[in-house]
Amino acid sequence: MSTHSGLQSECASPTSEFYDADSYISSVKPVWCPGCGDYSVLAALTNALAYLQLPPEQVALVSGIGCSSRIPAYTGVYGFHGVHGRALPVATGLKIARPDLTVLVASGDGDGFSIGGNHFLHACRRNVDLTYIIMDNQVYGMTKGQASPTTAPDWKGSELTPAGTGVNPFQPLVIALAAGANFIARCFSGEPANLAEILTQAIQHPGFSVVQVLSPCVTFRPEQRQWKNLVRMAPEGLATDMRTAARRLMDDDGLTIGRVLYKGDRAPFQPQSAGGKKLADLEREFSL
Amino acid sequence: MNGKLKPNRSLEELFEYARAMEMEAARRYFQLSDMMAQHNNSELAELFRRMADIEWVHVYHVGEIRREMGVPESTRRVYPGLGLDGAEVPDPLDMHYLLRPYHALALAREYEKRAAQFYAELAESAENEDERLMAQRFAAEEETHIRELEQWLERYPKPEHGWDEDPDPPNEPE
Amino acid sequence: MLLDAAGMAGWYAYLTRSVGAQIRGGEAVAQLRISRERLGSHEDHFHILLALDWRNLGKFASEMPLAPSSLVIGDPEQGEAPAELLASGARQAWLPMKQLAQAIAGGRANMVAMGALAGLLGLPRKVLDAVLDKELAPKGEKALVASRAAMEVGLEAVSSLPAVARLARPQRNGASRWILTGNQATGLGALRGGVRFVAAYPITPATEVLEWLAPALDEVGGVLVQAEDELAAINQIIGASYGGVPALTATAGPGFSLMSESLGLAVASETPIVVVNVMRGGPSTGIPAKSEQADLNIAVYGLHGDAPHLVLAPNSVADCVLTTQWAVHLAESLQTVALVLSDQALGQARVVIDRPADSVFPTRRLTAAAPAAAVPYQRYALTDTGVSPMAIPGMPGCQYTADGLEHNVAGIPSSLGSDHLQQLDKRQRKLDLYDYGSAWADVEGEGEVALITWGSCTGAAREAAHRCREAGQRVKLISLRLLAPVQAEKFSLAMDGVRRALVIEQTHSGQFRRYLQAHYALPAEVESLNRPGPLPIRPQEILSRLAKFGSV
Repeated sequence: MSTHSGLQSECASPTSEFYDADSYISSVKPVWCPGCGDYSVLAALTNALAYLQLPPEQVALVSGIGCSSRIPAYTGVYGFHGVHGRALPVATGLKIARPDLTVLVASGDGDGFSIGGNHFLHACRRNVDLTYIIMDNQVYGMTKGQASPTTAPDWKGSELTPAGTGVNPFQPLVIALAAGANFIARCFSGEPANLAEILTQAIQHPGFSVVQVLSPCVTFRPEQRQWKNLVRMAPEGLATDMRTAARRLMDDDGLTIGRVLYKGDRAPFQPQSAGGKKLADLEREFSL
Repeated sequence: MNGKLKPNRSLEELFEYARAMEMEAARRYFQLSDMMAQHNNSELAELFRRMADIEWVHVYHVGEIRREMGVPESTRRVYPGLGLDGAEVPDPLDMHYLLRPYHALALAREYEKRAAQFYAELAESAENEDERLMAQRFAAEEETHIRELEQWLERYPKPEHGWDEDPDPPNEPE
Repeated sequence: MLLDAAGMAGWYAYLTRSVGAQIRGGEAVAQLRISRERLGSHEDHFHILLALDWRNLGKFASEMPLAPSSLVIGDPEQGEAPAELLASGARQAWLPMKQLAQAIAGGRANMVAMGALAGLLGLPRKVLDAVLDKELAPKGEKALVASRAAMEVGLEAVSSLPAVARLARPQRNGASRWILTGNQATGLGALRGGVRFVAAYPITPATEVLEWLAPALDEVGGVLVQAEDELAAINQIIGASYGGVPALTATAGPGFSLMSESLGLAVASETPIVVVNVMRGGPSTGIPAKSEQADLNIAVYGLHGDAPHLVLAPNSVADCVLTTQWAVHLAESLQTVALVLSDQALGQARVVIDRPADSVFPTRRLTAAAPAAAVPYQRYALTDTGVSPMAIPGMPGCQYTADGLEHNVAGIPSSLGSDHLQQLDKRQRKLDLYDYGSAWADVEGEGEVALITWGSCTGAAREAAHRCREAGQRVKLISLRLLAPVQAEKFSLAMDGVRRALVIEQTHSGQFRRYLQAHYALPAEVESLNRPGPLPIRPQEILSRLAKFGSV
C-alpha cells in the first residue's frame, strides 16, 4: 500500500498482497547528510525487497551504531538498533531462533570491522543465513571523522591521527573469503540499480552473504564524491572456488564494483533440534 | 553509467521502464525534500516537493500515453533495480545541505537532459518503427521538461562563491 | 561413588572437590558430608580424613579442618601425617592401601580406600555393589571384578581401624531423591522456565551449566550455539529473545563484566533475557575454581545510566532450580534483564536432595496483537503496569525498531526530556508495581536476633540457626532470594521484632552489608561476618560470632 507522498502508515494492511518499495519505508525521515550514499542504499534495499515480495513483517534489519546503523528506523520492517559492533551476534541469535524470518544486517566500516571485527570473522565462519550490508565510507562519520580500518594510512583528515594512522587498511572482502563467507560482492551507492540487483542475489543466496557498499561520506570525506569517476565495473567471471576468488580479490584495488565476486556452496548453519522429549523425561537423569 | 539498462525491445517494456523511471524520480525527490527539511533548508525542501509532484504528473502522463497508444500494461515481473538508475532520477550524491534553488534546478535540468539523451539514443538504436516513434516522443517530452526548468531557473541568480561554507563545526549526535 | 551410595541408602549428602591448577594429574581432595538430615553446607570439621598420599597437603590444609575426635587414615608407605594435620589433635591410623591393591590383579588403591570408608560409614553392601556396577560396568568385566575385589579388601580392613561414631540410620521417607550439581539444577530451572535458546561461551565455573543445557535443549526442541566470546553470547540471546524465544546465557565474573553494555541494551530496549553468573573469586581473573560473593555490586549497580533490572540469587543447590525458573518467568513477564547470582560453591557441589517441587511459574510474555487499522502500534506505550505489549517479528502491522537509544512510545529515538522521563518511569514502574509474592526471601524462625544472608552462605547459616534453636535460643534467618528490586517493605515486616542482626557474606568489602544499609531499614545493632573466598563460612564461625553478641 503506498501513497504518492512516499509515506507509509505504521500499520500495513495484513491483507495487501503486492508490495512496492514504499511498503518497506517507515515515516521516520532520515537525518543523513545530503549527499550521503546511504540514501541510495536505502532506496536500493527497499527496491530489492519489493522485487522479492517479502512481507515486511517477515523481514528483520539489525544494526549497530553509526550513521549507517540508523537505517532500520527508516524502514518498515522489524528493526533492531543494538550497540556498537554487535549487530552480527544479535542477527545470529535472531535467525537461529527464528529461521522463518529474512534477517539482514547493516553497519558501517567502523562498527563492522573495528569493534565488530571479531564477530565479522565468526559470522563468516559460522555461515548463518544472513545478508550483511556494510556501508563503507572509510571513516567514522558519526563521531566527526576518525580513521577506520579501511582508511588509507596517509589520510590526514582526522584530529585523532593528524599525521595519518600510518597503519595499512585491510581488505574486508579478502578476510570475508578467508573466514568462510558464502557470497561476496562489492557495490557502489552511486549505482543503485546494480546494488539492488546484487542485494536480491545476496538475500536469496543461502548462508552468510557479504555486500560491501562504497557509500561516500560527503561531510568528512568530501573527496569521495569523486568515487563515481573512479569506480569501475569488476571484470566478469564469478568465482565459485576459493582459490580463484582469493587471487581475484587480492589483485583488486577496492574500487571494482558491480558483480558478485564469489559464491560458495557451503550449507548454511541452522541447527535443527531433535525435540520430542518432555522435561519430565530429562529430569529422570537426576533420580537415584 | 546512468540509464545504461536498456529495456528490451517491446513497447510494453518501454512504457514499464518509463513509468518506473518517473516513479523512482518522484520517490527520490520526496526523499530529497524530506532530507532538506531535516536539514532546515526549507527553500529546497519545498522545491524538491514541487519537483516530486511534477514527476508524479509525468507518471500519470506516461500512463495516459500508454492507454492512448493502446499498449497493454506489462505483466512481466519487474527486474530488481528497475527505475533506480533511470537517467532522470536525481542522484543523492549530488546533494549538499546548503544547496540553493539555483543548484537544484540546474541539477534537475541536468537529469532531464540525460533522460532526453537516453531516449534519443534509444530512438536511434530502435529495431522497429513503433519503438523509434515512441522513444522519440518520450525524448520530446523530456525536452519540454528541460525548457520548463530553464524558465524556472531564470528566476534565480547564480549563487556567489562560498555558498557552501558553514562556520559551525560538525556535531556528534550519537 | 560414595555420594551415590549414600544417596541410594537414603542419606542426604553434599560433595565438593578442590583441585590443583593442572588439567590432569594434579592434586585433588574431595570433601563429602553425609547426614540423615537435609544438608546445605559442610560441617565445622571433618570426622575422617583419608589420604592416599601427603603431597601438596599445604594447598588444601585450610579446607580440611580437623578436631581431636577426627580420624586421619594414611598409607604407611607415605610416612607420617604432616604436622599441621596432627596439630589438630586428631587420631592417626594406618591402612596400607597401595600394598593391598597391588595384591589384586588390576587393583587400585582408591578402591581399597573406598571400601574402608564405606565400612567405617556403615554403607550397606547392596548399595555399594549397585554403585560399583553402575560406574564400572562400562569399563569392562575385568575392571569391575578388580574393583570389587579391592573394595572387598578395604571393607575387611575396617576391623583393623579405630571406630568412628556411626552415622544415624537414614529415614527412608519415600520421597524420591535426586543427585545433581548446582550447575545442572540451574540448567533445569532454565528449561522449566521456558528457555529454548542459549548462547554459550565457556568459563570456569559456569561451563557445566552450558554443557548440561546443550544436549537437554536439543531434546526438548531448543538450540544452544557456541559463541565466539561473551559479547557475542549476550547479544545472541538478545536477538533470539527479540525474535520471541526465551533466552539465557551463563558466565562468571570476567565474562559478566564484558556483558555490561549489552545488559543495558536489553534493559533499554525492554528485551527479556536471563544471565547466570556463577560467581568465583575476584577481582579480575581472581580465583577461578573457588567461590566468592563479591559480584553483588556489579550485578546491582554495574549498568551505566539508570537501568533498573532484576537480580536473584539461589541459596542452595535445590534452590538453583526454582530461582532460575523464577528468573525466566520474571524476565519474560517484565520484559527486562534478570541476573541470577549463583556461585562456584553451589554450582559445582554435587548433592543428594529431595526431588524439587514442580513448576509453579506460568512464564508468559505479553505480546502484541495486530492493531486496528489507522491505530499505529506503539511498542513502548505507557501502560498502568509499565509493561507494554511486545510485537514479535512475523506479526503484521506491528513493525517497530527496538533501540538502545532513548525513545518515545513509538520507539522513535528521542532526546527530549519528557520522553526520557516517561520511559525511565515506565521501566522503573514495571518493576515496582509487580507483586513478587513470598519467594523474595526465605524467612525462618523467630527471635530478636537475625542472621541475614544470601546465596551459598545460607546453608551454614541455616545450620547455625538450627543449632541455636536446639540449644534453646531463638534466632531468625533471612536469606534474600530477590536482591533487586529492593523489597524494603517486606524486609521490614520480616525484621519485625529483631533488635540485632548479623550479616553474613563471602566478600572482603562487605558488599551485601553496604547494600542492606543503603536500601533497607536495619536495626541499630548490626554486625558483619564477612570474609572473602576461597574458604566457606562454617556454622561454628557463625555461632561463635553470635555468642559474642552478648545476651543471646
